[in-house]
Amino acid sequence: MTTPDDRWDTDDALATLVVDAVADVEPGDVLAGLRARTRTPARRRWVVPTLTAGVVAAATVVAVAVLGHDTAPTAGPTPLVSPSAPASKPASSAESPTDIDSGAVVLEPAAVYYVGDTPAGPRLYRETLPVRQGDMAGLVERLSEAPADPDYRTLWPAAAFEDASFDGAGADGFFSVTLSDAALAARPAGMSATESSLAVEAVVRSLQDAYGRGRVEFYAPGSSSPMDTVLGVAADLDPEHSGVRSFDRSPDLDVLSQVLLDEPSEGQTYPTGDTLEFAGEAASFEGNVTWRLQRYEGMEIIDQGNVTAEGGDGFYPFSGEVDLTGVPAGRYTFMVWTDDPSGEGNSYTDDRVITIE
Amino acid sequence: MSPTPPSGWDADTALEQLYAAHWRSLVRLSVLLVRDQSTAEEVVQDAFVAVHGRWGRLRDPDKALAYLRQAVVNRSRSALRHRGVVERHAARQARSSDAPGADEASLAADRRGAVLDALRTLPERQREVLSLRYYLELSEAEIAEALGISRGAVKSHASRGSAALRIALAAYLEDRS
Repeated sequence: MTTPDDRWDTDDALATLVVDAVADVEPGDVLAGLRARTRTPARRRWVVPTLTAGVVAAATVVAVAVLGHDTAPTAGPTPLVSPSAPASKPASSAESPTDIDSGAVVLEPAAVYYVGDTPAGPRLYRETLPVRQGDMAGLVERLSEAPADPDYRTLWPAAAFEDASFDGAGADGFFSVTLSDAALAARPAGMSATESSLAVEAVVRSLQDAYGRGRVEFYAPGSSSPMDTVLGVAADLDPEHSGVRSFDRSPDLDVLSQVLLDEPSEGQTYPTGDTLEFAGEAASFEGNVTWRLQRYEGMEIIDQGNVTAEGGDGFYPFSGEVDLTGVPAGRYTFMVWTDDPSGEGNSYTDDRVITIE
Repeated sequence: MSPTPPSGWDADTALEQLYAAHWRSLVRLSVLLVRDQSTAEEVVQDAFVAVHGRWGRLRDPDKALAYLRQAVVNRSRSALRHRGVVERHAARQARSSDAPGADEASLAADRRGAVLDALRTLPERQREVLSLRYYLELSEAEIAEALGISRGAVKSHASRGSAALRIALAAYLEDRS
Protein backbone atom coordinates (compact mmCIF):
# COMPACT_ATOMS: atom_id res chain seq x y z
CA MET A 1 0.00 0.00 0.00
CA THR A 2 2.67 2.46 0.99
CA THR A 3 5.22 1.46 -1.60
CA PRO A 4 5.85 4.08 -4.23
CA ASP A 5 4.08 4.05 -7.52
CA ASP A 6 4.78 1.22 -9.91
CA ARG A 7 7.05 -0.61 -7.53
CA TRP A 8 6.82 -4.39 -7.39
CA ASP A 9 8.27 -6.61 -4.76
CA THR A 10 11.07 -8.06 -6.75
CA ASP A 11 10.63 -11.68 -7.46
CA ASP A 12 13.61 -12.20 -9.65
CA ALA A 13 13.89 -15.96 -9.52
CA LEU A 14 10.31 -16.43 -10.63
CA ALA A 15 10.64 -13.76 -13.30
CA THR A 16 13.78 -15.45 -14.63
CA LEU A 17 11.97 -18.77 -14.89
CA VAL A 18 9.06 -17.22 -16.76
CA VAL A 19 11.28 -15.30 -19.17
CA ASP A 20 13.34 -18.40 -19.75
CA ALA A 21 10.25 -20.50 -20.42
CA VAL A 22 9.83 -18.83 -23.81
CA ALA A 23 13.46 -18.07 -24.53
CA ASP A 24 13.58 -20.78 -27.17
CA VAL A 25 10.51 -19.54 -29.02
CA GLU A 26 11.67 -18.21 -32.37
CA PRO A 27 8.70 -17.24 -34.51
CA GLY A 28 9.06 -17.32 -38.26
CA ASP A 29 9.26 -14.17 -40.33
CA VAL A 30 5.75 -13.22 -41.40
CA LEU A 31 6.29 -9.62 -42.44
CA ALA A 32 5.62 -10.39 -46.10
CA GLY A 33 2.34 -12.03 -45.18
CA LEU A 34 1.40 -9.12 -42.96
CA ARG A 35 2.13 -6.66 -45.77
CA ALA A 36 -0.09 -8.68 -48.05
CA ARG A 37 -2.92 -8.71 -45.51
CA THR A 38 -2.74 -4.97 -44.94
CA ARG A 39 -2.15 -3.91 -48.53
CA THR A 40 -5.78 -4.09 -49.64
CA PRO A 41 -7.17 -0.78 -50.85
CA ALA A 42 -9.10 0.85 -48.04
CA ARG A 43 -12.47 -0.68 -48.41
CA ARG A 44 -13.16 -0.58 -44.78
CA ARG A 45 -14.81 2.57 -43.62
CA TRP A 46 -15.91 3.56 -40.19
CA VAL A 47 -19.28 5.14 -39.75
CA VAL A 48 -20.51 6.71 -36.59
CA PRO A 49 -24.28 6.45 -36.45
CA THR A 50 -25.86 9.74 -35.51
CA LEU A 51 -28.95 8.21 -33.98
CA THR A 52 -27.34 7.22 -30.73
CA ALA A 53 -26.26 10.66 -29.58
CA GLY A 54 -26.89 11.11 -25.91
CA VAL A 55 -25.35 12.78 -22.94
CA VAL A 56 -23.38 9.69 -22.19
CA ALA A 57 -21.62 10.09 -25.50
CA ALA A 58 -18.53 11.03 -23.53
CA ALA A 59 -18.15 7.40 -22.66
CA THR A 60 -19.71 6.09 -25.80
CA VAL A 61 -17.71 5.16 -28.81
CA VAL A 62 -19.83 3.33 -31.25
CA ALA A 63 -18.35 2.15 -34.45
CA VAL A 64 -19.83 0.14 -37.23
CA ALA A 65 -17.55 -1.27 -39.85
CA VAL A 66 -19.04 -1.05 -43.29
CA LEU A 67 -17.59 -2.99 -46.14
CA GLY A 68 -18.14 -1.35 -49.44
CA HIS A 69 -16.58 -1.48 -52.84
CA ASP A 70 -16.28 2.04 -53.99
CA THR A 71 -15.49 3.93 -50.85
CA ALA A 72 -12.79 6.43 -50.16
CA PRO A 73 -9.19 6.18 -51.26
CA THR A 74 -6.28 4.79 -49.29
CA ALA A 75 -6.12 6.68 -46.04
CA GLY A 76 -7.41 3.84 -43.91
CA PRO A 77 -10.12 4.24 -41.36
CA THR A 78 -11.15 7.78 -40.65
CA PRO A 79 -10.80 8.72 -37.02
CA LEU A 80 -13.72 7.84 -34.83
CA VAL A 81 -15.28 10.14 -32.34
CA SER A 82 -12.58 10.72 -29.80
CA PRO A 83 -13.48 8.88 -26.61
CA SER A 84 -12.41 11.95 -24.70
CA ALA A 85 -14.56 14.46 -26.59
CA PRO A 86 -17.20 15.24 -24.04
CA ALA A 87 -20.75 15.78 -25.19
CA SER A 88 -21.61 17.26 -21.86
CA LYS A 89 -19.79 17.95 -18.66
CA PRO A 90 -19.98 15.49 -15.80
CA ALA A 91 -23.21 15.97 -13.98
CA SER A 92 -21.97 16.41 -10.45
CA SER A 93 -18.89 17.01 -8.39
CA ALA A 94 -18.97 13.37 -7.33
CA GLU A 95 -17.66 12.61 -10.78
CA SER A 96 -14.38 14.40 -10.52
CA PRO A 97 -11.29 12.20 -10.54
CA THR A 98 -10.69 10.40 -7.29
CA ASP A 99 -7.74 8.74 -5.70
CA ILE A 100 -8.27 5.03 -5.24
CA ASP A 101 -5.64 2.35 -4.75
CA SER A 102 -3.04 5.08 -4.28
CA GLY A 103 -2.98 5.79 -8.02
CA ALA A 104 -4.73 8.59 -9.87
CA VAL A 105 -7.91 7.14 -11.26
CA VAL A 106 -9.74 8.65 -14.16
CA LEU A 107 -13.48 8.44 -13.81
CA GLU A 108 -15.77 8.68 -16.78
CA PRO A 109 -19.52 9.02 -16.84
CA ALA A 110 -21.14 5.77 -17.92
CA ALA A 111 -24.76 4.82 -18.40
CA VAL A 112 -25.81 2.03 -16.04
CA TYR A 113 -29.20 0.48 -16.79
CA TYR A 114 -31.80 -0.37 -14.17
CA VAL A 115 -35.43 -1.39 -14.25
CA GLY A 116 -38.39 0.85 -13.48
CA ASP A 117 -42.11 0.79 -14.15
CA THR A 118 -43.94 2.32 -17.11
CA PRO A 119 -47.49 2.11 -18.46
CA ALA A 120 -46.25 -0.81 -20.57
CA GLY A 121 -44.81 -2.70 -17.61
CA PRO A 122 -41.18 -2.85 -16.51
CA ARG A 123 -38.67 -1.17 -18.81
CA LEU A 124 -35.06 -0.05 -18.59
CA TYR A 125 -34.02 3.34 -17.28
CA ARG A 126 -30.46 4.45 -16.70
CA GLU A 127 -28.28 6.44 -14.36
CA THR A 128 -25.15 8.24 -15.38
CA LEU A 129 -22.54 7.08 -12.89
CA PRO A 130 -18.82 7.70 -12.55
CA VAL A 131 -16.91 4.57 -13.46
CA ARG A 132 -13.17 4.10 -13.65
CA GLN A 133 -11.95 4.48 -17.19
CA GLY A 134 -11.81 1.10 -18.89
CA ASP A 135 -12.97 -0.75 -15.80
CA MET A 136 -15.57 -3.11 -17.26
CA ALA A 137 -15.71 -5.25 -14.14
CA GLY A 138 -16.43 -2.13 -12.10
CA LEU A 139 -19.15 -1.11 -14.53
CA VAL A 140 -21.05 -4.40 -14.36
CA GLU A 141 -20.61 -4.46 -10.60
CA ARG A 142 -22.74 -1.33 -10.45
CA LEU A 143 -25.55 -3.30 -12.09
CA SER A 144 -25.94 -5.49 -9.04
CA GLU A 145 -25.91 -2.56 -6.62
CA ALA A 146 -28.92 -0.48 -5.67
CA PRO A 147 -29.50 2.50 -7.96
CA ALA A 148 -29.49 6.02 -6.48
CA ASP A 149 -33.01 6.72 -7.79
CA PRO A 150 -35.58 4.95 -5.57
CA ASP A 151 -37.89 4.60 -8.60
CA TYR A 152 -35.48 2.12 -10.11
CA ARG A 153 -34.35 -1.30 -9.04
CA THR A 154 -31.75 -3.81 -10.06
CA LEU A 155 -32.85 -7.30 -10.94
CA TRP A 156 -29.45 -8.83 -10.31
CA PRO A 157 -28.64 -10.32 -6.92
CA ALA A 158 -25.88 -8.58 -4.98
CA ALA A 159 -22.34 -9.43 -6.13
CA ALA A 160 -23.67 -11.33 -9.14
CA PHE A 161 -20.67 -10.41 -11.29
CA GLU A 162 -17.15 -11.62 -10.92
CA ASP A 163 -15.48 -10.04 -13.91
CA ALA A 164 -16.02 -8.47 -17.30
CA SER A 165 -13.63 -7.95 -20.16
CA PHE A 166 -13.48 -7.41 -23.88
CA ASP A 167 -11.99 -10.13 -26.07
CA GLY A 168 -10.93 -8.32 -29.14
CA ALA A 169 -9.72 -4.94 -30.21
CA GLY A 170 -11.60 -1.87 -31.28
CA ALA A 171 -15.14 -2.61 -32.32
CA ASP A 172 -14.10 -6.05 -33.34
CA GLY A 173 -14.78 -8.70 -30.71
CA PHE A 174 -17.09 -9.57 -27.87
CA PHE A 175 -17.52 -8.93 -24.19
CA SER A 176 -17.10 -11.70 -21.63
CA VAL A 177 -18.99 -11.37 -18.40
CA THR A 178 -18.21 -13.88 -15.66
CA LEU A 179 -21.02 -14.45 -13.19
CA SER A 180 -20.32 -15.34 -9.59
CA ASP A 181 -22.71 -18.27 -9.51
CA ALA A 182 -23.51 -20.94 -12.10
CA ALA A 183 -27.08 -21.02 -10.74
CA LEU A 184 -27.68 -17.68 -12.48
CA ALA A 185 -28.16 -19.67 -15.67
CA ALA A 186 -31.74 -20.27 -14.55
CA ARG A 187 -34.48 -17.74 -13.92
CA PRO A 188 -34.71 -17.11 -10.19
CA ALA A 189 -38.03 -17.81 -8.47
CA GLY A 190 -40.24 -14.74 -8.45
CA MET A 191 -38.66 -13.14 -11.52
CA SER A 192 -40.87 -12.76 -14.59
CA ALA A 193 -39.68 -13.61 -18.08
CA THR A 194 -39.83 -9.92 -19.02
CA GLU A 195 -37.76 -8.99 -16.00
CA SER A 196 -35.11 -11.59 -16.71
CA SER A 197 -34.67 -10.43 -20.29
CA LEU A 198 -34.44 -6.83 -19.07
CA ALA A 199 -31.78 -7.86 -16.56
CA VAL A 200 -29.66 -9.40 -19.32
CA GLU A 201 -30.37 -6.42 -21.58
CA ALA A 202 -29.13 -4.09 -18.81
CA VAL A 203 -25.73 -5.77 -18.90
CA VAL A 204 -25.55 -5.71 -22.70
CA ARG A 205 -26.55 -2.05 -22.97
CA SER A 206 -24.32 -0.81 -20.16
CA LEU A 207 -21.27 -2.46 -21.75
CA GLN A 208 -22.14 -1.51 -25.30
CA ASP A 209 -22.93 2.11 -24.50
CA ALA A 210 -19.58 2.51 -22.78
CA TYR A 211 -17.30 0.36 -24.88
CA GLY A 212 -18.79 -0.33 -28.32
CA ARG A 213 -21.13 -2.75 -29.97
CA GLY A 214 -19.59 -6.15 -29.28
CA ARG A 215 -21.86 -9.06 -28.47
CA VAL A 216 -21.85 -10.25 -24.88
CA GLU A 217 -21.01 -13.74 -23.66
CA PHE A 218 -21.66 -14.87 -20.12
CA TYR A 219 -19.52 -17.42 -18.31
CA ALA A 220 -20.15 -19.41 -15.18
CA PRO A 221 -17.27 -19.11 -12.71
CA GLY A 222 -14.31 -21.25 -13.77
CA SER A 223 -15.95 -22.28 -17.03
CA SER A 224 -14.46 -21.60 -20.43
CA SER A 225 -17.53 -22.04 -22.58
CA PRO A 226 -20.22 -19.39 -22.79
CA MET A 227 -23.50 -20.08 -21.00
CA ASP A 228 -26.48 -21.10 -23.15
CA THR A 229 -28.93 -19.35 -20.86
CA VAL A 230 -28.65 -16.49 -18.40
CA LEU A 231 -31.45 -16.01 -15.86
CA GLY A 232 -33.39 -18.37 -18.07
CA VAL A 233 -32.96 -16.21 -21.19
CA ALA A 234 -31.55 -18.16 -24.12
CA ALA A 235 -28.52 -16.68 -25.84
CA ASP A 236 -28.48 -16.37 -29.63
CA LEU A 237 -26.18 -18.41 -31.76
CA ASP A 238 -23.47 -15.97 -32.69
CA PRO A 239 -23.54 -15.48 -36.46
CA GLU A 240 -19.78 -15.01 -36.58
CA HIS A 241 -18.61 -17.73 -34.24
CA SER A 242 -20.48 -20.86 -35.11
CA GLY A 243 -21.75 -22.79 -32.16
CA VAL A 244 -21.05 -19.98 -29.70
CA ARG A 245 -23.93 -18.35 -27.88
CA SER A 246 -24.03 -14.70 -26.96
CA PHE A 247 -26.35 -11.73 -26.51
CA ASP A 248 -26.86 -8.53 -28.43
CA ARG A 249 -29.09 -5.58 -27.64
CA SER A 250 -32.80 -5.67 -28.43
CA PRO A 251 -34.60 -2.84 -30.26
CA ASP A 252 -34.87 0.34 -28.14
CA LEU A 253 -38.64 0.49 -28.19
CA ASP A 254 -38.93 -3.07 -26.86
CA VAL A 255 -36.84 -2.52 -23.78
CA LEU A 256 -36.42 1.16 -22.89
CA SER A 257 -38.75 3.52 -21.11
CA GLN A 258 -39.85 6.01 -23.76
CA VAL A 259 -38.27 8.84 -21.81
CA LEU A 260 -34.90 8.69 -20.09
CA LEU A 261 -33.34 11.49 -18.05
CA ASP A 262 -29.55 11.45 -18.12
CA GLU A 263 -29.08 14.78 -16.40
CA PRO A 264 -29.54 15.88 -13.60
CA SER A 265 -28.56 12.92 -11.47
CA GLU A 266 -30.51 11.85 -8.43
CA GLY A 267 -29.71 14.02 -5.42
CA GLN A 268 -27.86 16.68 -7.42
CA THR A 269 -27.40 19.99 -5.60
CA TYR A 270 -27.61 23.51 -7.04
CA PRO A 271 -26.76 26.86 -5.45
CA THR A 272 -29.71 29.25 -5.39
CA GLY A 273 -29.95 31.25 -8.57
CA ASP A 274 -28.08 28.63 -10.60
CA THR A 275 -29.34 27.10 -13.83
CA LEU A 276 -30.59 23.53 -13.95
CA GLU A 277 -29.52 21.87 -17.17
CA PHE A 278 -31.36 18.73 -18.15
CA ALA A 279 -30.88 16.23 -20.94
CA GLY A 280 -32.08 12.83 -21.97
CA GLU A 281 -33.58 10.79 -24.75
CA ALA A 282 -37.19 10.21 -25.63
CA ALA A 283 -39.43 8.52 -28.17
CA SER A 284 -42.47 10.73 -27.86
CA PHE A 285 -45.42 11.64 -30.06
CA GLU A 286 -44.16 14.41 -32.34
CA GLY A 287 -41.02 14.48 -30.22
CA ASN A 288 -42.82 16.41 -27.52
CA VAL A 289 -41.40 16.21 -23.98
CA THR A 290 -42.87 18.17 -21.07
CA TRP A 291 -40.75 19.03 -18.04
CA ARG A 292 -41.78 20.31 -14.65
CA LEU A 293 -40.03 21.50 -11.53
CA GLN A 294 -42.11 21.13 -8.42
CA ARG A 295 -41.64 21.21 -4.67
CA TYR A 296 -40.85 17.77 -3.28
CA GLU A 297 -43.21 18.41 -0.39
CA GLY A 298 -46.55 19.96 -1.20
CA MET A 299 -45.96 19.58 -4.94
CA GLU A 300 -46.28 23.27 -5.68
CA ILE A 301 -45.35 23.73 -9.33
CA ILE A 302 -42.42 26.12 -9.75
CA ASP A 303 -42.01 26.01 -13.50
CA GLN A 304 -43.03 23.92 -16.48
CA GLY A 305 -42.28 23.84 -20.18
CA ASN A 306 -41.80 21.79 -23.33
CA VAL A 307 -38.84 20.70 -25.35
CA THR A 308 -38.64 18.46 -28.37
CA ALA A 309 -36.73 15.28 -29.02
CA GLU A 310 -36.76 15.68 -32.76
CA GLY A 311 -35.84 13.29 -35.51
CA GLY A 312 -38.72 11.02 -36.39
CA ASP A 313 -39.67 7.60 -35.11
CA GLY A 314 -37.55 6.23 -32.32
CA PHE A 315 -35.37 7.77 -29.64
CA TYR A 316 -33.89 11.24 -29.98
CA PRO A 317 -32.03 13.47 -27.55
CA PHE A 318 -33.68 16.40 -25.83
CA SER A 319 -32.23 19.03 -23.53
CA GLY A 320 -33.11 22.31 -21.88
CA GLU A 321 -32.46 24.68 -19.02
CA VAL A 322 -34.45 25.89 -16.04
CA ASP A 323 -33.52 29.22 -14.49
CA LEU A 324 -33.49 28.80 -10.72
CA THR A 325 -33.38 32.52 -9.96
CA GLY A 326 -35.76 33.27 -7.13
CA VAL A 327 -36.46 29.61 -6.40
CA PRO A 328 -36.05 29.21 -2.62
CA ALA A 329 -33.74 26.62 -1.07
CA GLY A 330 -35.26 23.19 -0.51
CA ARG A 331 -35.92 19.83 -2.15
CA TYR A 332 -37.59 19.62 -5.53
CA THR A 333 -38.70 17.02 -8.00
CA PHE A 334 -37.67 17.54 -11.61
CA MET A 335 -39.78 15.42 -13.94
CA VAL A 336 -40.20 14.86 -17.66
CA TRP A 337 -42.89 12.98 -19.52
CA THR A 338 -43.88 12.02 -23.03
CA ASP A 339 -46.99 13.16 -24.88
CA ASP A 340 -50.00 10.96 -24.64
CA PRO A 341 -52.29 11.71 -27.56
CA SER A 342 -54.66 8.96 -26.38
CA GLY A 343 -55.32 10.83 -23.14
CA GLU A 344 -55.52 7.51 -21.35
CA GLY A 345 -52.69 8.04 -18.93
CA ASN A 346 -50.11 6.30 -21.09
CA SER A 347 -47.36 8.85 -20.62
CA TYR A 348 -43.90 7.59 -19.83
CA THR A 349 -42.14 9.59 -17.16
CA ASP A 350 -38.79 9.89 -15.46
CA ASP A 351 -37.83 12.13 -12.55
CA ARG A 352 -35.04 13.17 -10.20
CA VAL A 353 -35.08 14.63 -6.73
CA ILE A 354 -32.73 17.61 -6.53
CA THR A 355 -31.77 20.12 -3.83
CA ILE A 356 -31.35 23.86 -4.07
CA GLU A 357 -29.30 25.35 -1.25
CA MET B 1 12.47 4.82 -25.51
CA SER B 2 10.14 5.60 -28.34
CA PRO B 3 11.65 5.69 -31.78
CA THR B 4 11.75 8.66 -34.14
CA PRO B 5 8.98 11.20 -34.63
CA PRO B 6 5.77 9.21 -34.95
CA SER B 7 3.65 11.63 -36.89
CA GLY B 8 5.64 11.09 -40.06
CA TRP B 9 4.86 7.39 -40.17
CA ASP B 10 2.09 6.10 -42.33
CA ALA B 11 0.31 2.89 -41.39
CA ASP B 12 2.64 0.72 -43.48
CA THR B 13 5.80 2.19 -41.99
CA ALA B 14 4.34 1.91 -38.50
CA LEU B 15 3.57 -1.75 -39.14
CA GLU B 16 7.12 -2.47 -40.23
CA GLN B 17 8.71 -0.60 -37.35
CA LEU B 18 6.48 -2.22 -34.77
CA TYR B 19 7.02 -5.60 -36.34
CA ALA B 20 10.80 -5.22 -36.27
CA ALA B 21 10.78 -4.14 -32.64
CA HIS B 22 8.07 -6.29 -31.11
CA TRP B 23 7.11 -9.31 -33.20
CA ARG B 24 9.24 -11.81 -31.33
CA SER B 25 8.51 -10.53 -27.84
CA LEU B 26 4.77 -10.40 -28.45
CA VAL B 27 4.74 -13.96 -29.80
CA ARG B 28 6.61 -15.04 -26.70
CA LEU B 29 4.14 -13.20 -24.52
CA SER B 30 1.30 -14.96 -26.28
CA VAL B 31 3.01 -18.33 -25.85
CA LEU B 32 3.01 -17.69 -22.10
CA LEU B 33 -0.74 -17.19 -22.36
CA VAL B 34 -1.84 -19.83 -24.87
CA ARG B 35 1.19 -22.09 -24.85
CA ASP B 36 0.82 -23.20 -28.45
CA GLN B 37 3.30 -21.34 -30.66
CA SER B 38 1.40 -21.47 -33.93
CA THR B 39 -1.71 -20.11 -32.19
CA ALA B 40 0.45 -17.39 -30.65
CA GLU B 41 1.79 -16.43 -34.06
CA GLU B 42 -1.72 -16.19 -35.46
CA VAL B 43 -2.88 -14.12 -32.53
CA VAL B 44 -0.03 -11.65 -32.85
CA GLN B 45 -0.36 -11.36 -36.63
CA ASP B 46 -4.04 -10.52 -36.19
CA ALA B 47 -3.06 -7.91 -33.62
CA PHE B 48 -0.61 -6.31 -36.07
CA VAL B 49 -3.26 -6.23 -38.77
CA ALA B 50 -5.63 -4.56 -36.30
CA VAL B 51 -3.10 -1.92 -35.30
CA HIS B 52 -2.41 -1.20 -38.95
CA GLY B 53 -6.11 -0.65 -39.55
CA ARG B 54 -6.31 1.59 -36.52
CA TRP B 55 -3.21 3.64 -37.24
CA GLY B 56 -5.26 6.67 -38.26
CA ARG B 57 -6.47 6.86 -34.70
CA LEU B 58 -3.34 5.92 -32.84
CA ARG B 59 -0.59 7.81 -34.66
CA ASP B 60 1.80 7.36 -31.82
CA PRO B 61 4.09 4.36 -31.38
CA ASP B 62 3.63 4.32 -27.62
CA LYS B 63 -0.12 4.19 -27.94
CA ALA B 64 0.20 1.69 -30.74
CA LEU B 65 2.34 -0.54 -28.56
CA ALA B 66 -0.16 -0.34 -25.70
CA TYR B 67 -2.91 -1.19 -28.16
CA LEU B 68 -0.89 -4.08 -29.59
CA ARG B 69 -0.28 -5.54 -26.16
CA GLN B 70 -3.91 -5.22 -25.26
CA ALA B 71 -4.95 -6.84 -28.53
CA VAL B 72 -2.49 -9.70 -27.98
CA VAL B 73 -3.75 -10.39 -24.46
CA ASN B 74 -7.41 -10.17 -25.48
CA ARG B 75 -6.99 -12.26 -28.58
CA SER B 76 -4.96 -14.85 -26.69
CA ARG B 77 -7.75 -15.14 -24.17
CA SER B 78 -10.33 -15.49 -26.86
CA ALA B 79 -8.22 -18.02 -28.77
CA LEU B 80 -8.03 -20.12 -25.62
CA ARG B 81 -11.75 -20.00 -25.18
CA HIS B 82 -12.76 -20.60 -28.73
CA ARG B 83 -10.29 -22.84 -30.35
CA GLY B 84 -9.48 -25.53 -27.86
CA VAL B 85 -5.86 -24.47 -27.99
CA VAL B 86 -4.98 -26.47 -24.94
CA GLU B 87 -6.23 -29.70 -26.44
CA ARG B 88 -4.46 -29.02 -29.70
CA HIS B 89 -1.23 -28.43 -27.91
CA ALA B 90 -1.64 -31.56 -25.83
CA ALA B 91 -2.20 -33.61 -28.97
CA ARG B 92 0.88 -32.18 -30.62
CA GLN B 93 2.97 -32.85 -27.53
CA ALA B 94 1.79 -36.44 -27.36
CA ARG B 95 2.87 -36.99 -30.93
CA SER B 96 6.31 -35.49 -30.51
CA SER B 97 7.26 -36.89 -27.13
CA ASP B 98 10.13 -39.21 -27.80
CA ALA B 99 12.26 -40.73 -25.09
CA PRO B 100 13.98 -37.81 -23.39
CA GLY B 101 17.71 -37.90 -22.87
CA ALA B 102 19.12 -36.60 -19.61
CA ASP B 103 21.30 -34.01 -21.31
CA GLU B 104 21.37 -30.29 -20.62
CA ALA B 105 19.04 -29.42 -23.46
CA SER B 106 16.32 -31.76 -22.36
CA LEU B 107 16.60 -30.52 -18.77
CA ALA B 108 16.02 -27.00 -20.02
CA ALA B 109 13.11 -28.19 -22.11
CA ASP B 110 11.60 -29.93 -19.11
CA ARG B 111 11.96 -26.82 -17.00
CA ARG B 112 10.36 -24.65 -19.67
CA GLY B 113 7.52 -27.10 -20.02
CA ALA B 114 6.99 -27.13 -16.27
CA VAL B 115 6.81 -23.34 -16.13
CA LEU B 116 4.30 -23.18 -18.98
CA ASP B 117 2.28 -25.96 -17.37
CA ALA B 118 2.27 -24.11 -14.07
CA LEU B 119 1.08 -20.94 -15.79
CA ARG B 120 -1.68 -22.93 -17.44
CA THR B 121 -3.07 -24.00 -14.09
CA LEU B 122 -3.55 -20.39 -12.97
CA PRO B 123 -6.85 -18.54 -13.48
CA GLU B 124 -6.59 -16.48 -16.66
CA ARG B 125 -6.29 -13.09 -14.97
CA GLN B 126 -3.43 -14.24 -12.79
CA ARG B 127 -1.67 -15.72 -15.79
CA GLU B 128 -2.13 -12.49 -17.74
CA VAL B 129 -0.95 -10.26 -14.92
CA LEU B 130 2.15 -12.36 -14.24
CA SER B 131 3.07 -12.65 -17.92
CA LEU B 132 2.86 -8.89 -18.40
CA ARG B 133 4.76 -8.32 -15.19
CA TYR B 134 7.55 -10.86 -15.54
CA TYR B 135 7.95 -11.02 -19.26
CA LEU B 136 7.21 -7.50 -20.46
CA GLU B 137 8.17 -5.94 -17.12
CA LEU B 138 5.16 -3.66 -17.24
CA SER B 139 4.29 -1.46 -14.29
CA GLU B 140 1.21 -2.04 -12.24
CA ALA B 141 -0.48 0.92 -13.93
CA GLU B 142 0.37 -0.34 -17.41
CA ILE B 143 -0.98 -3.78 -16.58
CA ALA B 144 -4.16 -2.27 -15.19
CA GLU B 145 -4.58 -0.35 -18.42
CA ALA B 146 -3.80 -3.31 -20.66
CA LEU B 147 -6.27 -5.57 -18.89
CA GLY B 148 -8.93 -2.98 -18.13
CA ILE B 149 -8.92 -3.75 -14.42
CA SER B 150 -8.09 -1.68 -11.36
CA ARG B 151 -4.62 -1.48 -9.91
CA GLY B 152 -5.93 -3.08 -6.76
CA ALA B 153 -7.03 -6.06 -8.82
CA VAL B 154 -3.64 -6.22 -10.53
CA LYS B 155 -1.98 -6.37 -7.13
CA SER B 156 -4.17 -9.13 -5.82
CA HIS B 157 -3.94 -11.23 -9.01
CA ALA B 158 -0.16 -10.80 -8.94
CA SER B 159 0.25 -11.82 -5.35
CA ARG B 160 -2.07 -14.81 -5.57
CA GLY B 161 -0.59 -15.92 -8.87
CA SER B 162 3.03 -15.62 -7.79
CA ALA B 163 2.29 -17.48 -4.56
CA ALA B 164 0.78 -20.35 -6.56
CA LEU B 165 3.68 -20.35 -9.03
CA ARG B 166 6.23 -20.39 -6.24
CA ILE B 167 4.66 -23.55 -4.88
CA ALA B 168 4.26 -25.23 -8.25
CA LEU B 169 7.83 -24.43 -9.26
CA ALA B 170 9.48 -24.87 -5.88
CA ALA B 171 11.89 -27.48 -7.20
CA TYR B 172 13.25 -25.18 -9.90
CA LEU B 173 13.42 -22.17 -7.61
CA GLU B 174 15.52 -24.07 -5.10
CA ASP B 175 17.89 -25.19 -7.84
CA ARG B 176 18.65 -21.62 -8.66
CA SER B 177 19.17 -20.16 -5.24
